[in-house]
Amino acid sequence: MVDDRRLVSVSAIVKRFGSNTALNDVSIDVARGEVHAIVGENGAGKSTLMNIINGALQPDEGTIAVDGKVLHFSGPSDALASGIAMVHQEPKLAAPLTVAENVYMGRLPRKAGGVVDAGALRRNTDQVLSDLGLPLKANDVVGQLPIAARQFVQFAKAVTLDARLIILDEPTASLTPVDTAQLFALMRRLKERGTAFIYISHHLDEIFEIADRVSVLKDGSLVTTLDVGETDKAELIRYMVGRDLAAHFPDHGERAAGEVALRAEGISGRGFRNVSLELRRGEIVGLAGLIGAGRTELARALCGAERITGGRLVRDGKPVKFGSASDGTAAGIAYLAEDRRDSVLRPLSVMHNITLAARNDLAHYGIMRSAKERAVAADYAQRLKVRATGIDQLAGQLSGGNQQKCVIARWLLRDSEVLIFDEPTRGIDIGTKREIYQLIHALAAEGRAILMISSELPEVLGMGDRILVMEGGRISGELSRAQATEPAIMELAVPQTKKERMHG
Amino acid sequence: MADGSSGEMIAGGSAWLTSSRRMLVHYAVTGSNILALAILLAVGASLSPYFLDVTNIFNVMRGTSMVGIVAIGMTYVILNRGIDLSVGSIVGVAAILSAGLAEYGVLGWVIAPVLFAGLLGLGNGLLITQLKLQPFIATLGMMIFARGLVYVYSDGSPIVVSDAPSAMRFLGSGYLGPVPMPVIVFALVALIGAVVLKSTIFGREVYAVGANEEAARLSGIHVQRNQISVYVISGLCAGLAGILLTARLTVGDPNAGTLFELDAIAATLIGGTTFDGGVGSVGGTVIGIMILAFLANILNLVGVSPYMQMLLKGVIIVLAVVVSELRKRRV
Amino acid sequence: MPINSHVDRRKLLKLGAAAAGGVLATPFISKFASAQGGLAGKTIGFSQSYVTTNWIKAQREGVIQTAKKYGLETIVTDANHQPTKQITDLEDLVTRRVDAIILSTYYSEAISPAVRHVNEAGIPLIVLSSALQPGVDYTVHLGTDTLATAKDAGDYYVKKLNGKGKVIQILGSPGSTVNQHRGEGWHSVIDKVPEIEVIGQVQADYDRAKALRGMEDMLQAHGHIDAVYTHSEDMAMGALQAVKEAGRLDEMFITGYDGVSPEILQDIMEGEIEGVWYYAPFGTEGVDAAAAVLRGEAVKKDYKFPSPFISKANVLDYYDPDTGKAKVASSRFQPGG
Repeated sequence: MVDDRRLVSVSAIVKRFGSNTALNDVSIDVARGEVHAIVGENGAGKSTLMNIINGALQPDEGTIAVDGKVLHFSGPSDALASGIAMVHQEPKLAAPLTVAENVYMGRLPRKAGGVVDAGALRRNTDQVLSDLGLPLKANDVVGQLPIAARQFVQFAKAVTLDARLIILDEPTASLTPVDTAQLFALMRRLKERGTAFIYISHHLDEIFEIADRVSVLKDGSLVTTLDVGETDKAELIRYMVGRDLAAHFPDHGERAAGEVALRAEGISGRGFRNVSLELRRGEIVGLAGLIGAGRTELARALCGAERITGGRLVRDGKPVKFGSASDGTAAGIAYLAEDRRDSVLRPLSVMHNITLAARNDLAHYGIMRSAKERAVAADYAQRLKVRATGIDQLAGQLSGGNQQKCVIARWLLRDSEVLIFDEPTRGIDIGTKREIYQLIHALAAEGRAILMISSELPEVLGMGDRILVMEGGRISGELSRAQATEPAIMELAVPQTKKERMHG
Repeated sequence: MADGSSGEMIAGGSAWLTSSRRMLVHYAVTGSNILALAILLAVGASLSPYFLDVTNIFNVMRGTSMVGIVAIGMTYVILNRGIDLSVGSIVGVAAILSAGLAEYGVLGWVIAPVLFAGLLGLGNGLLITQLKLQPFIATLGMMIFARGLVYVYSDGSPIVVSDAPSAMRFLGSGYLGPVPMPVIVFALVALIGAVVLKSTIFGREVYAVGANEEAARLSGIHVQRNQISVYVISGLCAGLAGILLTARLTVGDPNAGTLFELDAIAATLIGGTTFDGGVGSVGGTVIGIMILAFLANILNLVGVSPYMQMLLKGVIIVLAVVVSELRKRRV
Repeated sequence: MPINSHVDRRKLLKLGAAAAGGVLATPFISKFASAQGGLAGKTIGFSQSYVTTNWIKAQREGVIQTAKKYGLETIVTDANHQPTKQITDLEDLVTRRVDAIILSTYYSEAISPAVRHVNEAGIPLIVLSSALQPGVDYTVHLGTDTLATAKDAGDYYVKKLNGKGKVIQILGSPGSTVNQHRGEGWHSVIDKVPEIEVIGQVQADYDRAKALRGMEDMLQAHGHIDAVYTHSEDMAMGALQAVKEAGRLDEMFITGYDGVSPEILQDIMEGEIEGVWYYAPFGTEGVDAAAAVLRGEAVKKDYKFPSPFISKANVLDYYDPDTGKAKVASSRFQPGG
């Protein structure tokens, strides 16, 4: 790497939180026009490093230099002034305002007398949007845009602020493949103009697609920095977890599908119509589809959280009607929400999270049997290897993967026979992901019926005994394990118009 | 921040059940307030020789027991991620009904007013769950409506209970041993409130709905039923406070309970319950109410001017909440 | 809705219809067929800040009953403790072109713009009790020199205490002119007597429960108290309850103001309250004044009514122990004054 191309250099950074060292002697640099990926398990120190580079945190030791000049950032606005911007996973935008107002927030063009120059605002914004090739309008209201589009708004904002280094933290976590392709196209355009990126992602495939170099963090230390062309996925994983994860997905083994536990017969509801499917005991059914295809709506209807307007559900051969989610749980159907914020009770303890759904079984005349509750919660926490200081630790203090384990424990304790996992590994580090995969397999082996919704195709392929694909609220096809490939699934998942755009 | 959390461990065996951090997490907030109360009491004792007098302590407790009972109900509501602004007016409704119906015996001055107060609470719950009104708006409406009921019923003037039933006098001004009756009622309500919250399925559901409504719904909790229940509880508590107030004064005052809602909310917040829901306890609220009451008492005993007292009260409320927020963050 | 039906209404509500009662609306109009003194068809408006104390309620009764006597139509408004509502109430009365307005306010400063509006419309304005701010006009002001009365109270304390004693003061709502006068006038006298000492103050907002609670603290803090000076009868009764419960009634005397509710008159008769300075609610006199103005009679601009001390000696002039009711005072209004 030639010195004069170096845009930002981070040298020998140390950051401590109390007695805990979050970053230990970490040095990386980013060149102009480079995409520098940072990978590592959750807790490896990625977020801390990013927060130091964008000024939100101050290092205890070490320096940050921009264009070779050592600078001290006392807040994100200092970093922004030096051309460093951060695009957040959950965009921090003012939802009721328009795209233009968000892009130029705090810098609205004014006419004489301090009145906002609405015309200039719209023209400037539309100019930037079309420069970037973004399918947005200046006067779109941000709150009505899909999450991907909101990220683009942040990009537009960063560009108008003359950002030279853009930090992206898990930008594709909630994006569909189509959105991701758009994002990468945008990044490439900006790269050509010399914009550099720091790119954090759990998706190693993406890193090989977009990044130039990749740095691996582990336990707060920099393990190595590699040129992407000179490494592969297996090697990266080895660096990240310190062990070989060749067998990423567990063996399917000799599980045989049993009786039908839950059958949907032509059900319709908000977001899906005329869906028929069968979930058998001992079987994992993968459900793929783009965001907005109606997967979550269907899942919620299966467990009673959404109303069914047509067709019927049959549980163990008997027709059932669910008035609410509590009817579904009573029938032994569990739904693990797509968004972990809809399933974890962050301010409550690990124990309360685990025993919530089984509360009636742990009570006597409405009063909780506290000794039994503690014992049971501890037992399940241990069985699922929840990493916490104890069952009284607050769930909100755990990492995402461990929060997810608490939620899974909740439904195991409830002894649910039908488990619907909606994006069970989103935002979870690789090591924990693997544990969750094994857990799901073990549950199927116990004879439970499992429906697993995922936007990560490798995950659906690796886990599903059968794969259903949804598109536009319908089941567009079913693939056996043997037939299923990524292109086959995408063929079924992508609507006609989008397909053209993707290939075009 | 995930990166900042301290060394995790895969807990095994006994470590799960005995964790010293558990004490911290659970009692940090309450703990800091117990400390604050202890300091307050020590300051009181050093400033005024009369302060630690049993009579004084019980007088203060008696004076605050009505707001205290209201605050217990408020704790349920705020834990559940709601707010009940109507409690002060519901106190007024119960107080005036209790006085107006005193001639009909216990049914008249205890049961009817408390039940009616519960009914107004039910009204709050239905407005919030069925019409999907924001709790702030629904209970604001109820606050004005209920005060209107009081004025209509009483024609705006106090209703004097002539020949108050002896049971009423006993409830308001009697003692059990050295303990005034209103204090006993308050203690009972607090005790029942604490046990229900901590150890029953219903209590769990109150926390769960407050912590995460959607997760609670998906876990099979009847969320709306739970939300209605907390407003009914809040209404019943306000009703009980209202009849105690009338029993104490043997007058139903149409202004009874005015601004109780603010003291109850302040006590709840000082006690560590947060507006975000799912965090807090009855014990914390009891300490919160005692801090407010003893503060006023000490300032009175020491002879601080009434206007200056308000300044101090405002500062203390904000300070207490700031301190408990800081403690929470550190844990 | 005629006001004299309120007893029946209360009975009805007692039967459980309280919830339906919220529909009772103000302002309401009372109309009576029999006219007196050529005032038939004339309308007066009456605006109050709120009606939730005995004193103000007695004032409203006085206005309504006296207006009935004259055959005047009366529009009664109640601002529900909100200065802004009293402003709109007054503006509404102007809009309705009433022939005269009787005003009783605790927010003289805040409502000045609306009063100016009344002045501009040329509607006669009769002001009861608290005076208006400088800069606005009125036709007649009926009041009591509250400052002078409070000085009388100071003199009474000096004499009664023989120039030496420890006194507790219980104040009403800050912001009320009358409350301020009752403090200032009294202090201006007793502060000159070095051995009379105000050893504690409680702000009880005219609220009985707050006065009770505050007095408990005072009893706790002070081993000996000679007197309790309260700014209203409700607070006097609250203080009395605390003193009685502490068993220290013999040690001190308690005074208050108003003398409207039968309860305090009963307490005075029984010797538990030393006495109160009578503060008449002016309702009857207010309508008398309005009638005089409407008839074109000559009236003075300011009337000051005396505020006699009701004690055990003269309480029977104000109270009928057999019926347990306060005696209705006859009008003190004389146009020529």
